[in-house]
Amino acid sequence: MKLGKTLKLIICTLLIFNFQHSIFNPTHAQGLLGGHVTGNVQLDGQMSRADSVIGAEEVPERLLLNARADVLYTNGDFSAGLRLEMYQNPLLGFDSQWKGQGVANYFVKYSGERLTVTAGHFYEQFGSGMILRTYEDRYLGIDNALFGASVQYRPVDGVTLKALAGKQRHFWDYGPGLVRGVDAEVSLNSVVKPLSGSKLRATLGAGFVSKYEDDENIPVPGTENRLNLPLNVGAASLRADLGFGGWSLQTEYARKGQDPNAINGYIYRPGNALMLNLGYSTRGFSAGIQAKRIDNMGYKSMRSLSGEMLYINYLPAITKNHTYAFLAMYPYATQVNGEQGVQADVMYKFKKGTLLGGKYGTDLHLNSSLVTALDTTVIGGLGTDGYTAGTFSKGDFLYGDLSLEVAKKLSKTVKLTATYAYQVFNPVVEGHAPDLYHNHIVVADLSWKVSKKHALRFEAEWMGSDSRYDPEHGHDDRRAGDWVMGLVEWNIGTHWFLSLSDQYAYRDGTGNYYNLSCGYTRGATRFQLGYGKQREGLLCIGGVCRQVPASNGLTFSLTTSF
Amino acid sequence: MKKIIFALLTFAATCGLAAQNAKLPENIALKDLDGQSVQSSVIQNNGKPVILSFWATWCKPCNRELDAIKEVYDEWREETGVKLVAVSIDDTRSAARVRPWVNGKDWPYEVFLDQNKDLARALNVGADVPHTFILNGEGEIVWQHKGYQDGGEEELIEKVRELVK
Amino acid sequence: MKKTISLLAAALLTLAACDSIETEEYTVYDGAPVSWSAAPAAPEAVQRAYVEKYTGPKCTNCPRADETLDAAHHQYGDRLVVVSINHPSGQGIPYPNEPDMRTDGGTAWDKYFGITFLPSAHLNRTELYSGDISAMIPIIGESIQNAPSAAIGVQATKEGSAVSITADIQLLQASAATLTLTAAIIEDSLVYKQDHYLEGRIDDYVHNHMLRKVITSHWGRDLPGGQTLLRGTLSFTPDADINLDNSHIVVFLSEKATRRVINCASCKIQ
Repeated sequence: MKLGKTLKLIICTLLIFNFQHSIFNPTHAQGLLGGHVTGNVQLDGQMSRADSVIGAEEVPERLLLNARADVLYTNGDFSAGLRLEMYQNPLLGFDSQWKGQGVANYFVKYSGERLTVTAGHFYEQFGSGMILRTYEDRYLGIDNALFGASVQYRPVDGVTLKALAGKQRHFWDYGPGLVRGVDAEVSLNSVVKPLSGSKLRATLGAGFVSKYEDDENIPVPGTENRLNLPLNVGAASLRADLGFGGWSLQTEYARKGQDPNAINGYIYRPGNALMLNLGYSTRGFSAGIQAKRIDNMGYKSMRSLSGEMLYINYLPAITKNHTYAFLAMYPYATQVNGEQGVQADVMYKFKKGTLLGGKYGTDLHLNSSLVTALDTTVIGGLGTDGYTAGTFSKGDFLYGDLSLEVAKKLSKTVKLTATYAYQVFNPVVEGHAPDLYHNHIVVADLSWKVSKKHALRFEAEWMGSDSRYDPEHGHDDRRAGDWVMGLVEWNIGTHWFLSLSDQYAYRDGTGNYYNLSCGYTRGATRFQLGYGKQREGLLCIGGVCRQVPASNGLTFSLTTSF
Repeated sequence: MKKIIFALLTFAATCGLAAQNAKLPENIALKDLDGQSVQSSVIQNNGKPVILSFWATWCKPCNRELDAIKEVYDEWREETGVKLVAVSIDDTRSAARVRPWVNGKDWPYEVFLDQNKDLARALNVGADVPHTFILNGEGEIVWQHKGYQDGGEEELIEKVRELVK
Repeated sequence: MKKTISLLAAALLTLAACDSIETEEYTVYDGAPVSWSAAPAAPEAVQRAYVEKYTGPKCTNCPRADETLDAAHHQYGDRLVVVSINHPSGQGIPYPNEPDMRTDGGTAWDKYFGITFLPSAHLNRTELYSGDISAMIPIIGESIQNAPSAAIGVQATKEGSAVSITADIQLLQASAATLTLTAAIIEDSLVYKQDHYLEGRIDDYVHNHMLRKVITSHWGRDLPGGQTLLRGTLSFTPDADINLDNSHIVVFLSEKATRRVINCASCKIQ
């Protein structure tokens, strides 16, 4: 940790010198040592009152606050940065272990033309992230940055080699596992002479990650034995990214060694995952199909930890990331222990002046996905190989959806987007008892540019669902029932906005969630204030989900970059 | 120590110092739409301004902004010589969709992928997109803006016009 | 070039860092910990023979092996230590409502040495005899004539519900091999059904030397290096169904790498 302190000191000195100098010489933004200081600040606050109907609980400290500031110093190829974070107390839905404040992230970095070296905290991704991806998502409360060192080297154009080692951030501490990784990526078009300028584009890559974690005592129930744990757990992947004209194919296959852990119930079965993306696109038309299979790929730098923290790898959901409220009400969450799915996506633009295109053209967007569990045969629990899985045979149905979106400019100032979606959702993906909810959703989204200064947006949504809210019989899902929603958004100039919305479960459900919010944006500064009720549920970003409790009250947010 | 840093931060935040001529970093790895690795130094426009827009396929305002600019892009280019470079921060979940998306939308922009958000982090793009920068001919950041509201593109081109005047 | 090479070297190092565990070793038994000190006096320097006998209640020829080993006991006295291990499957499966003498430790040994035939007897874990084991008897006689490379003695006392074991060890020949100390409890005079080669099934057959539990981990505890005269003490609480008056504590020293037993001792519980 001595190294960490020295690093922090150097970074602070640099920053302080430069700030002082720029204060005294406001016309010269460069600091005493040259270079620039930039940064960003974000402040999120919340005041919530109890509300028994929606299940919001009393917040004794009244005001909850998450704040952070990144400061970055850049001088030519050299940069250094640090981040301050404060959670006093963390917003609702954030783990209480976030509580605290301090320097959460700091690094120094040299990025030359061929060589990049980082010491401190860093974020890295090998290929699609199947074996390694460290990232930060401030809204989900996830930051699994590696603290250590990383080297990236490009010996020739088209070849990138990476090596890294470190421990992952875990709230205000580090996870126990030491993560080491190497990765190589080669663009054949740059390296193989006859392929340069070819219509075929090919990039190949391979990565290997190994985690070391000290032994621990995990007893085998019913015996006096404990597990003989692998201290080094490896994961490797091969990938290819191919393109030919309008066609593209991306694929990655990963394997993970024996890794008994809390997520898979301490079984010794090795993991594997396969991802395949095939796409074709041309002007105004695109079609893509994606297939994915995951088998026991939960990979963390702390074997005894469940939940969303300390993942070394990243396995996003295969389904589309829906943005309309009701389409996103029953989000699919990746089942890292096993799932298989396909997604198809088609976009088509009817040209201006055609029958369906009309005067301004029409956009059509069709999306469908289907996910099932693996077809497994259980061998045993903890301390066994766990199960065997059929290669392509289907297990239980987990999620399916189909959505069709039509976007049409009706006049110079009015644009309408209409969406219909059908969803089948198995709550087992959220850890509840298996069931199937069938939902129909209709959305109309109309934007109207009233004048040069004013724009209005109206959104109406309806959802019909066969799920029922009946807590006395164990159906306590507050999303249940049929819903309607209305939203009006008023943009005043380019700086102000005001919006009012209400979600109401009008049949077999519960709750009335109104929300009023306004915001002001100027340059890179944005302030937003909201008042209303927030439904409890899963907040999902990129397939990673966090349970958010209900809240009732005031929220505000300030972000700025400088 | 912490207090000093906090004080400095507050000061910097309120005065908005120091950012004026920070340059676009040159050696950050991005991917182009063909999946080939490129360095961030490819984001340039032969001495003319560049609009650098961070976006994502799942971000509605981003798409509204880029759709709106598409309508007037030819005029902008003719008038100011400006070029728009759109950098997607889509992660693995949707990164494979970026190329079909851009083609399907028929966007005339140069598009790069920043899956690991290396460039986004170097430019202090927080968690939210769109986040749009204007770079002058020397690659210096002269203006930036968060979010998009209808008509926001007017403000953008005004700033570019000031640059080329 | 240098950088490429160092990155490749890093790659190779990382690649090597992946553990693989065999199915039968997914779980391990730590057993009672052993604390080490200097022994006040050297144990008697005699070579004893250690025999693991694999048996089962449905093995008709197992009583033959019992007779052979009983005779050997008469001949060699306490210079022969026998541990009877109930085979985990097949002929080892107990009759309904009969005592189950299978143990985790015995099963681990059985699987490791690949015992497939009953009766089998394993002398010092080096020579395996199956079926007719009488050929083993003269070999035992020869083996106990050798000068021991290590001496071991044992004492065991009851302390409330626990049993405390003291094993004194003297290493007589320098060796680079890591040695381990294993302790087990065996019980005599257990009466339950046994198939017999002459009399069919005997309802009240008397089983002796039955392994009830490996007290240390199944493969023993490492001896600390650098000492030649040492005392290992450990204590454990035996299951209530073990009659301590009919029981012995068995300790043996074995080479960690080869699992070869180099000397052993047994005693009654005082």
